[in-house]
Amino acid sequence: MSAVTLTVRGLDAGFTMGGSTVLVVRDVNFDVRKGEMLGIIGESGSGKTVTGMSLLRLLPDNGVTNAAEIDFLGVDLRGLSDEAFRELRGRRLAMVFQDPVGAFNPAKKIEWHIRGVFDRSASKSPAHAERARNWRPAAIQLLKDVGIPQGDNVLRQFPHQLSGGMLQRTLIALVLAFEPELIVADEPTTNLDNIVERQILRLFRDLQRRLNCAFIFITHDMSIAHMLCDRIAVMYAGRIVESGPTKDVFANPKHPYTQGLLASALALEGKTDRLKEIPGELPSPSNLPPGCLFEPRCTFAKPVCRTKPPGMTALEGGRGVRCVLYGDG
Amino acid sequence: MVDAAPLLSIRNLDVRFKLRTGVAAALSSGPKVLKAVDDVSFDVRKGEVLGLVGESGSGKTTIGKALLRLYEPHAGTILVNGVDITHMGAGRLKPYRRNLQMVFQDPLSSLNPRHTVRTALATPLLLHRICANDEVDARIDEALSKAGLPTSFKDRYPHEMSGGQLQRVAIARALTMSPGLVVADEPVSKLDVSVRAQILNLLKDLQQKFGISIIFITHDLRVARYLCHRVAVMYFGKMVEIGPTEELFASPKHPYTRALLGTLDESAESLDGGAQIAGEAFNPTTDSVGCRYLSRCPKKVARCATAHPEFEDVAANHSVACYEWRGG
Ligand SMILES: Nc1ncnc2c1ncn2[C@@H]1O[C@H](COP(=O)(O)OP(=O)(O)O)[C@@H](O)[C@H]1O
Ligand SMILES: Nc1ncnc2c1ncn2[C@@H]1O[C@H](COP(=O)(O)OP(=O)(O)O)[C@@H](O)[C@H]1O
Ligand code: SF4
Ligand SMILES: [Mg+2]
Ligand SMILES: [Mg+2]
Repeated sequence: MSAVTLTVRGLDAGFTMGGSTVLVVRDVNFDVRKGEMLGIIGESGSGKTVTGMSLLRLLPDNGVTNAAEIDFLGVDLRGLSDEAFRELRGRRLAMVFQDPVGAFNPAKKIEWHIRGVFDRSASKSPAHAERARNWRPAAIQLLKDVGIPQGDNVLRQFPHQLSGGMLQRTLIALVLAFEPELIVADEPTTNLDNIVERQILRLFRDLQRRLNCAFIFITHDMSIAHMLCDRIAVMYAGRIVESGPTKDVFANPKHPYTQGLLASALALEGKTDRLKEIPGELPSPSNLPPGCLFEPRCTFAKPVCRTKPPGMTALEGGRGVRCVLYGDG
Repeated sequence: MVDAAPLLSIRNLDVRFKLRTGVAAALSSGPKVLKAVDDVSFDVRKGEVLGLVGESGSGKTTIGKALLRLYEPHAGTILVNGVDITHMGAGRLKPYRRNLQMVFQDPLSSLNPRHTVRTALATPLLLHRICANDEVDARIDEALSKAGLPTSFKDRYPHEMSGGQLQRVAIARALTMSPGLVVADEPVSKLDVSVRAQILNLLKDLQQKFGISIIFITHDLRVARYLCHRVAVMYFGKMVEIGPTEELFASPKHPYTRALLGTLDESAESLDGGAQIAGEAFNPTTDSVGCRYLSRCPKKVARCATAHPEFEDVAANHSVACYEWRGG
């Protein structure tokens, strides 16, 4: 197994409003290894974005983050000054959002953005320095690598002149040039139509293989996680309730929530007369059930589920589940 | 079985929007109007669920709103039970408005935040004089029960309800009118997967129990397959294929329908197939001649650049707008 790039232990995150703090992410633990794609999946409001933002220190001013450990290649991220963290984010960590527009300066052409990345990485090696000097052919090749054949044209355009799919491709080209060791992508294809989405997903996978970096892919879409990710962590109401290799979790989900979620998502794949339902809805973060967060909706719940939040039980094959039906709870 | 006379007939519907003025409009040399819906015709029979699928911006919502007379069409006709309502005045239109109801993607935007559920449901009942004042409450209770909500929800405000509950309220509100046709515009796409199944099952039950016709708008083919008897595929304002659901899924004819269905394969290997470099999509403000799908189409021939193809019959109830549909 390759080396661990990012270790997260006991991550809590939330927001302070009107003097009180509401935690929307609690006790999140995971590792991401070099060359691995970890999927964080869950329904909207389950805390996926806040998890990613808190790790990259991008939460708004009223955001609160606490963790027992956040280790990035031997660096304790908790202890870094804001300035040192910005420096790191500009060189070794990248975040890609749903809307690529925000990643671009609207007043600057695409060539300005690519040259910026080339210049910033010029000191890495003689080849990088050469790339920064003789930037145009390198930029055109880079765009070709992400499926943009007419790079010469695109370099001269402003971000708003490109379609959503083209802009997301261009952003992937920038990340490719920038060679980060960890990428966090938050629902980066949600705004695209299915056909373009497919192509962009493939680019993300190629990007990750080429850079051999650690990759966290956040999505609410089970089918995307299924196609793309080596391992997944399923979040429910701010907690990871199940994690493990994607194939195993899909073939044999353990947590009743994962089972219900996959049953509803997968039932639509074939012809079916009746969809299986999960009764009820997600609890609100300010009014969480005292025991297991899924207990009010769970058909397997025992009396203890109502009072005691279950811990994470480690299972064989690198799997984990937060449910009393497995192990000692 | 379904009636012979269609509940709704749309003929050659054409809906246009003026493009925004400003930099973008000044720079483009193309036309200054956008054809959001371009020469679209279809029927909906009584008791039928017709799916309108297509990516965002393909004109699905505009069709729905135009047939409810919320947009003025540039051309075309809208017939309800054989009666032309395209230009009908507000007074005569009232019973037709009542017969055609719409449920939107975002139920919050169609509910007044300061009104309780009771007020939201009572207002159209009183407006259309559906029942006597003292029967309003009973009527609301009945609609809420049909939508799977306890009658105590009458006293709730929108912010006191979850997404799934709000969508049930929106459905209940449509039901109070006893509509013949409901246009459901992406009613589950903002809902969580675990709640989505509840609402889809509810719509299926209501449709079967009360024989309501539904135009179900969605960008998700799988959802369409679950609910719809027939499916129509939209691409940039054009309907490119329409047919019975299972036939369309088993033997799609239009290259775009095929590409869409291709995205349903979810194995990791499936990411490797297909063309790596995509053509840019049709640009509605500059491209005007030729097939709308031309720039992305793997099967195009010279003729495709001359004019958008007419609909041709593939089989009973199955038509396609493509010159090359016969070739494999
Ligand atoms: N800036 C914010 N201020 C207060 N609450 C927030 C903020 N951003 C997100 N939240 C809340 O945090 C919870 C988790 O949100 P998020 O991480 O965005 O979920 P996801 O990405 O899984 O959809 C939600 O209940 C959301 O309402
Ligand atoms: N009120 C409007 N004014 C101007 N353009 C509009 C308006 N409504 C929709 N459009 C445009 O018409 C096209 C079709 O939109 P719409 O019917 O909403 O598509 P869909 O519902 O399939 O996503 C889009 O290009 C959209 O931007
Ligand atoms: S008409 Fe031509 S361009 Fe259009 S879909 Fe058919 S083959 Fe493709
Ligand atoms: Mg999010
Ligand atoms: Mg729409």
